[in-house]
Amino acid sequence: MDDGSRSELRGHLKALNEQFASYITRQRDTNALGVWSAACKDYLRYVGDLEAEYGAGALANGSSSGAAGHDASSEVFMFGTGDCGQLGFGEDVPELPFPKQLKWKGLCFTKLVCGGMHTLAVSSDGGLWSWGVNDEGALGRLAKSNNDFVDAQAAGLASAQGAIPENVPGRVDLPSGSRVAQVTTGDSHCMALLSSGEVYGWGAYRNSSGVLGFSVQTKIQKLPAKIDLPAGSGKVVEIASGADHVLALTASGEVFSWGCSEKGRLGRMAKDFADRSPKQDAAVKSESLRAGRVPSLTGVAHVACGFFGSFAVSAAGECYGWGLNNYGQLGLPQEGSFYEPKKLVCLDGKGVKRISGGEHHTLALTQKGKVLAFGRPTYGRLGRPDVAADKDAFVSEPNYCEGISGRVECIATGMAVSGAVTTDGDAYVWGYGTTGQLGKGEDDGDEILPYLLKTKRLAGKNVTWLSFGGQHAGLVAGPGAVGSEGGQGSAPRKRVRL
Amino acid sequence: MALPGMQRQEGVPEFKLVLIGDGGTGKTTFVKRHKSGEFEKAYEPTIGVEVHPLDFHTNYGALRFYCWDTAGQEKFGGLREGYYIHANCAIIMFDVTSRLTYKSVPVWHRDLTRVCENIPIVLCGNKVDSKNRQVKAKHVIFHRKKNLQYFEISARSNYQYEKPFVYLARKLVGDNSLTLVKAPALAPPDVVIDMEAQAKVEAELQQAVNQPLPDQDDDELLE
Repeated sequence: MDDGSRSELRGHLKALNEQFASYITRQRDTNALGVWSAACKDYLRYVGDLEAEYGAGALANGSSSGAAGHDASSEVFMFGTGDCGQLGFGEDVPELPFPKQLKWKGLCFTKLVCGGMHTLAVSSDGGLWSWGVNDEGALGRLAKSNNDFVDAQAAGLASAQGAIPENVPGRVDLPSGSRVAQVTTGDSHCMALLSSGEVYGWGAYRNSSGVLGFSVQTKIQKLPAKIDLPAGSGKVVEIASGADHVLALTASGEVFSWGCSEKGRLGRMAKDFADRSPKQDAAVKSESLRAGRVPSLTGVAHVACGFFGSFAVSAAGECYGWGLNNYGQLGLPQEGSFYEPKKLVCLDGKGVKRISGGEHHTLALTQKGKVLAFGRPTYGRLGRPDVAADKDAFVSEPNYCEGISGRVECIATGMAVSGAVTTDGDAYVWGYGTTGQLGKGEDDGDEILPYLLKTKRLAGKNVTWLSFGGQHAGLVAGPGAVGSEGGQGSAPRKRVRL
Repeated sequence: MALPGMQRQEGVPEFKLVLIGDGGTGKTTFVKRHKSGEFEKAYEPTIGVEVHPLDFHTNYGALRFYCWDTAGQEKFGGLREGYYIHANCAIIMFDVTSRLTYKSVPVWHRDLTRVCENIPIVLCGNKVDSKNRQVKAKHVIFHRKKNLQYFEISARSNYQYEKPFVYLARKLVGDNSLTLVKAPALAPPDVVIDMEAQAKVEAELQQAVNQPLPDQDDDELLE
């Protein structure tokens, strides 16, 4: 979708939501016990009309890339483990057992992504901010209290920006006048897709021997650098990050990849070459760190990554996967690694529109708003009642997560955790609880089925977005614009079924 | 647990020690410092593991750790149980110059204790010789929560090399007074560690251990 129609769609959505909110507010005040379903049905019909006009999935895609769905009153909440500053609350808050709003100098953050040990967020004025671990340049800025600052001072670069500590939000400098359309991140690298279609990146990619580098020339890229695709590739419309690799989808439906090549995750090198140590063969490094096209893929509508694997979904809903499949996380029945895209027959006819991958598992969101899970089940990360969560098993056959009430519009995965956000503004989380990524307070037990995240501070808020990092998590929530019943209402809750 | 075909010593107690950590944290450098282990190591291709027999001489006599090292393939291998099963003890290693390598420590601890309940585990922060150190004493909270023993080591300078082994041997033998009677034969140090700076870090670590864990946040769940 281009900028013009995106802003048009946003205008329609705003008008629709305002009308609906004011109607619901009026009803609440004057007709609390009445039946409101007619208005809800009307609302749904208008949404359907908008989807028909702007393309199926336009609303969901818009919100996940942050182009629509968030407004200036959105708030960012952080939770989980943050002993390396990844929560953004400074040195004195090494963990947050419950989600807590991150406020920083009156700024309002409208979207965020959590990386391995760091976080990136976009503020309502369109700026990009980062906090957390900067050892391999993931913050894209020079930050105080690690060695970059010392380096910067030595180089006479101690600007005001350099003085901001790493464990609180600090601004990432991108070309002036640019607007961030999408941000993705992995263990130590970050990518920002600008609305112009240009991609900027920073940090470093790691491989199984340590830091591989960012480019052939640069081991650690501390400030944003423009990423060049081969000449004539066209505009990038979507990006995705694995732990140490990146996919870029162009307007013409082609896919490009770069980063660490191990286990076939780039999908464009033979096994022997992809798994060769760059120490033995320097060509591996130069070949993998430059963007190269994944052959055989055309007509792609969505790209996604697991930590060590990649996915592409065609406009017709056909899914392809490549990379590591040691737990069935690609949805392929054969254990091992795949060095080129393979059709994922197991997802045929399921209407998959988005995919999100963790370390050893994968979630797929269907057009109907249901969530499929496959891969490693341990600690309950699949949220499926049909597989034992206490077994370390290979589960390549997808099945539905159970226990989510409502239609899911956003899925999220971390190392061993999963989450989903519904159109009702509810966030569900499940999987590994030890690092507090389930936001349940002192209870750090696992949840083997989707668990509704519901705390006092989130009461009355509509969650719109959720992201997991290595040991922490964050979500975006707005005011319950559709009335207190739609979002995190107080008990006992009723639901508006949209 | 030795691999088939490895030479064993009659009457010497043997323990399977699994070494876990991100790629690049220095696990392989660490095991290779031990000269007899490096000489006698064996490779098991089906699970992609190298097994190094590491001998130590204690006041209880000789004992041997069969040290299993997967050379950074932890996350890529098949089911973890084959690697962890029958382990008697473990070392989880991260790199103090890259806090990213601390990310997986809690999950690895769970993976390990799920298969091997109640085995002694040591957390090691490697590369403390580096000027580029990033991990501060107060950062390392996880091992305090889980009551894990933590040691700072520098494989390249041999700093505290024997500490994790002595700790594990004490737990396995059940006597905290076990000591080494002979230093293990190690490769000569590649770097020299700044002992004064490291003494300061050790003091901070000691202080951190005595500090209470941070207060919990005060929100609550809604029914």
